[in-house]
Amino acid sequence: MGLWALSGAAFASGDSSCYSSWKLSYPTRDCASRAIISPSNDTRVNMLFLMRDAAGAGADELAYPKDSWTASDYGRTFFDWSMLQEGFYPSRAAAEAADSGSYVGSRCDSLTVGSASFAAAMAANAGLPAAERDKLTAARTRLVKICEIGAEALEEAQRYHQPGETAPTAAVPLLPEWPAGITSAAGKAFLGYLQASGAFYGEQWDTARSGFAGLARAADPWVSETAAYMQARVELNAAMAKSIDEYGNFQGAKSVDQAAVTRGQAALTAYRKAWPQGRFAMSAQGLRRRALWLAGDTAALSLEYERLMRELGGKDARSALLIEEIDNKLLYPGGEVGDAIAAGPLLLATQDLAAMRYGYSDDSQDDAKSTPPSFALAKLNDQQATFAEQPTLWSFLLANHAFYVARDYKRVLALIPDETRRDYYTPLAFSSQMLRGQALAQLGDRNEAGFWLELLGGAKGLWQRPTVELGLALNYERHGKLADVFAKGSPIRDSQIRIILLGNSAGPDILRAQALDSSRPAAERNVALNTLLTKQLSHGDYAGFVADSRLSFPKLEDDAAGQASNAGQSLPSFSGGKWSDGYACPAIIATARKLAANPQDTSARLCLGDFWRLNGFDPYSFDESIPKPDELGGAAHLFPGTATTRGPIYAAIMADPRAAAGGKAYALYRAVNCYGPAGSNACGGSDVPKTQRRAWFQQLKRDYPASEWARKLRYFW
Amino acid sequence: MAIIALALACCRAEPAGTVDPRRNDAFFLWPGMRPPDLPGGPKVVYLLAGELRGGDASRIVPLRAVPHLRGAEVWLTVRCERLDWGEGVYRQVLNELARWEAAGNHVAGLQIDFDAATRGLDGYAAFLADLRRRLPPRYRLSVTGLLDWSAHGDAAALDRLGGVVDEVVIQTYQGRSTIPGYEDYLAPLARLKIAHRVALVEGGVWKVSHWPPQDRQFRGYVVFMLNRPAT
Repeated sequence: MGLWALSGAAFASGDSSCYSSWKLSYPTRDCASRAIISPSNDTRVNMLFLMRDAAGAGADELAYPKDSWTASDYGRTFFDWSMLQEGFYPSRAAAEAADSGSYVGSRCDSLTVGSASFAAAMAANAGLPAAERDKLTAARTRLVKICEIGAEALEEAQRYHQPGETAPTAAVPLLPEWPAGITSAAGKAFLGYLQASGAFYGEQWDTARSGFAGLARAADPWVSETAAYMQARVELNAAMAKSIDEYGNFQGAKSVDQAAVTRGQAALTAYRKAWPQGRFAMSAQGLRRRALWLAGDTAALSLEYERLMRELGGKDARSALLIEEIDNKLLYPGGEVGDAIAAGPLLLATQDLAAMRYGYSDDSQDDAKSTPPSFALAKLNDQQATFAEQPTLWSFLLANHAFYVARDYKRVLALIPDETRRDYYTPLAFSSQMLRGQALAQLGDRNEAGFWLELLGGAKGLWQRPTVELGLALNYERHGKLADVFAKGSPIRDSQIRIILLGNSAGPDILRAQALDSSRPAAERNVALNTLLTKQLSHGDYAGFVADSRLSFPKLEDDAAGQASNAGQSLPSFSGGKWSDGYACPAIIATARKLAANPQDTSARLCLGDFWRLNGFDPYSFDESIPKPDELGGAAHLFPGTATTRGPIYAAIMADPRAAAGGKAYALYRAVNCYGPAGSNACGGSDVPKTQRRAWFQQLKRDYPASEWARKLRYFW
Repeated sequence: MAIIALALACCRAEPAGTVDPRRNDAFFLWPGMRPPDLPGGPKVVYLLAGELRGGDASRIVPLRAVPHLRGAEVWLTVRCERLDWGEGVYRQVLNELARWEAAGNHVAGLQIDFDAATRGLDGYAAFLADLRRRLPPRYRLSVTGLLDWSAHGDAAALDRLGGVVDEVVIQTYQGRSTIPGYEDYLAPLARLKIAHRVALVEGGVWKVSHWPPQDRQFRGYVVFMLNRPAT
């Protein structure tokens, strides 16, 4: 099952950071995956779900992976490939750590593992004198050295140690000699094996080739079998000898020595014929796939992958390794979409779904500029025979085509019957029902919410229930029923979903009630109170802020759900923040009292601005995290009024003829600083051109020359 | 405004518009990617050597063979999805650095490309401090950072890394495109006290004609190569 050393870059995997789109469907590859097998998912996620489905995976007793702080925005609705593996194979890391050496993935990976096998083989050979055995055991460390130093270093070391040359700065140790005095036939065979192996690890292909060939008829059964297997490894490694560029990149199948590949395949066939149940049978299977890949025989490779997908069935972590291999070698060789068309239904379905993604016509990532997939229904229909024995999968593909490509939502309903009220759902059954629900939502069907409610009962698989809750929450938010989300006994329990609605959609009443609801996790209550107070300030409800400031933030614990850990992180400092760094301001509560009495109070408005500036409210918290209209939290906006930011405050004070000189000078100073030092506006409000910034700068210097702000300001940007 | 004039003599500025790798000399290379053909060859390359994937903290999946570069400063980059490295992983990294060095490369050091969420920076710092202790002093330590690390009040946490790492390479792209709204992050970025490079994506949008001159810690651009066909 070896991932060979030069697997392609994992372009299919997640990017450096991911903000998932909180909706059920996404037109192109999303950076996070959902429990719905779909075009937007990572192909590896879809493959694993399809494998498990084909093997009959149902309501397994699985636990969500331990929440990692890298992914806490995902809630339990989104996940990535590694989280999926942690969910299905929680013991994988522990199991692999036990038998992992430090050379995994390189030619040296067989070295650590082979040590015990080599010792056992020598012990089993009665014809091998004990003294020779000890020498051979010691000599084996030479192989380890070759791997540690690397073949290149070996050459360097040998070159530098010619007489008259100076040693390199990082001294490379010389290799020990091969032992002398090995005279028995068995001893010679084992020594021959070590020498051929040394040549192999040192990339001396010709020496390795002849060395192992010479051992094919060795009397020792371990030596002869291992030598036969190693002949295949030599050839397949030699095949790539000239395919590595100076950056260490593999340069593609065209650079491969095909004669060596053919010899390698012949050696594998010979090995399997002579030792059908041999000790390297499993590795030989992996080598065979490697040979097919090197030969560019993607048709045979894809058939072998399909067979293995069914054989492994997603039951253990080997499935994940296989999937990575498939992704790297067949679907996205070198990080690009491969040419190979899969022959079997599981792989073909994976490819079809990816082919239903929208593309971006340019670099903007702007949804409006996306181009629809050019995947004609006729082309899909041509594949029907492949899916003859998978009617559910076939209907599911047709329904995905109807949903994502044709946008014919009624057709989706015709293809996927209502099968809610089940005890549990396999990955494919769940995905089919979700797609039906998504079509109901697109059609504005009156029973959409009822459908989600019935689906909830059997949504027991990992990530399934929160996904259904998302469907229901989107529906409630869009149908004026936000209060139902937060009612007692609400079926929407997922913290992240509730937090998004609290942070974006809820009005003061819901926020206040949720802040006080001790039955909910502290993180949710903190978001509710945080949002309430923040919006009261930004939306001008200063009296409300004064009143609600008395509420206290619950202590944030590591709650069992572990979700939404981000929510408590950015607690604004309403009680203990920084109020001033030059311009005199009292605590925010005093500022709010002044504004409640007179919203036009110049110094109080400037102090509100400084509170935002000094406590991390600029400007992303106001505009950048706002969900799009079709995302959760993007439809309802129940907080009365509109938000203001620092920019408009300064603009209003600069324009206010009654504002005091000190306040005006400070407003000018701050307005100019909004653009420092890179010329981009950090204060919100509409941007002004540089000429305006220059005018502010000059006005401050001209009209208020004695003010400390005029003296402090040296540049404009 | 006079201070602009001389400050940037050290570093080439990326002209406004689209990121053209041929105007740069430092590159971030994923497997299979090559820098543009430049007269003197590239000056600095960050080579993604392997990945520690989320499902498996016990090993790095290698992504390239040993390079053989002359003339370029080479960084060995490890992309990782988690930080609870097994002991074998540290061995693997140190071995790989030694192999690259032994093959004649001018190895600058190790770069960690971690999928860290902003709020995790302090936990990351502890990991990096430990890694620094394990790393032979001749190797420098670099980390990649996300654009929004320089904002959101995490600039301080980022600056605290300054005692541990030698530089931060701030990525301004996501996937294969420049992050929309990147302009908004430039001001906080320019205030960082830690040495930093700014990574641009080949062919991406970059409309910044002069890097802010006040930014004394700016060490230049790095281009993430996609080997796009020339347009």
